[in-house]
Amino acid sequence: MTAPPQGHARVRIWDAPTRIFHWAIALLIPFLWWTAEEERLDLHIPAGLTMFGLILFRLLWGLVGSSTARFVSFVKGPWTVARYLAGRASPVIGHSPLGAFSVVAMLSALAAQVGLGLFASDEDGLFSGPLAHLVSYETSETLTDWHDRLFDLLLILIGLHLAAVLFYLIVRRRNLVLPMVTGAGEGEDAAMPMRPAPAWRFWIAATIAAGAALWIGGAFA
Amino acid sequence: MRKALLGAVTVAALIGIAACNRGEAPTPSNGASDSASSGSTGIIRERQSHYKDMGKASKAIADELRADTPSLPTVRENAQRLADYAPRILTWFPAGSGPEAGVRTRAKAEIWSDQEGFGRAAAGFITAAEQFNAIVKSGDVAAIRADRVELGKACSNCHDRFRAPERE
Repeated sequence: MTAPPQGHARVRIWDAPTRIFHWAIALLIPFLWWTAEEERLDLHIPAGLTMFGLILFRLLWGLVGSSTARFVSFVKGPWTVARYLAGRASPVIGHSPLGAFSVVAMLSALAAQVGLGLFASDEDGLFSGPLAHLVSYETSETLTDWHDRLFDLLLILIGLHLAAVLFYLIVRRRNLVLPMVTGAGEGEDAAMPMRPAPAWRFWIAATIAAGAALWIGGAFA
Repeated sequence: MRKALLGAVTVAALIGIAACNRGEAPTPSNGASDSASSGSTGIIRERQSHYKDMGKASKAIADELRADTPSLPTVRENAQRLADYAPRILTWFPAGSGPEAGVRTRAKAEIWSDQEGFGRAAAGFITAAEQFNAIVKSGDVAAIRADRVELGKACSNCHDRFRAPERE
């Protein structure tokens, strides 16, 4: 058995729900882009509802999930971010104080994007988001416009995210992708280990999220 | 921060609804004034407002058909509007009102280079709109729902070939 280098050990960083969420949206975003580009709204709308369920789940998981998935554990004030940038922050497992900003920005943009999509419709009145009937043609048109434009912001945020991952890989010699696949990675001894959440919490959060997505999509009508 | 995240979906939607009622409804035109405005700019603007009107009628129908018990008078009114507009479409595309007009229009050059194909697509829509209107008059909601899909195909059949995408 090879001993890990001094001060470092293999520890759990991300729980399975957080990893599955991450890779699900990483696949879903290009699909949503493609179906919008090709005007395949018959596919775009169900995929958007899936995204709605995923985002809602992640928000719930941010409240009741494992320690590294919780907003209270990783969202820090600007002071902590500054100390982190100066290299004086205490070691953490999971999102760094700066990475947390990126996570919050991406989640908020995705939540807003999904929210706009619910009220969006095509100009011919043939396909519409599940809540578009609650607003006028003009309002729906405007929200669709925003839905279209907000995607550019999402692309910028995703670009920054990928650039940060590359920066860590090349400059800091730290692979962030692998832990997001396996759930485990190198952690510093001084850092608090991940406290996993019990499975029943996952099932409750997942049921709420899936139920809300189905309900909003009209499955129970 | 938590609250901000949780509220993001609703907030985005609510802000949108509150702030965005600035789009004024285009004035519905009354048959006689189809080519009253002079120049291709006027022709294009008017054409766009007619299509917007049709989009509105289509959304109004879709919104009703989504409900368990749709308001049939609303559906009837909007189906009639579509049926009235349909035969006029071919008069909205005089020569010179295409991409060469210098005004932003999504009308493709193919409308004029393939007049036969465009005419067939328009004729298909006229038939579909008349058929839909007749079924709406019958009041059979299930049949109306089914035929709306057919009507939608007739819309898209023309748009897919002769209308450029919204964002190039």
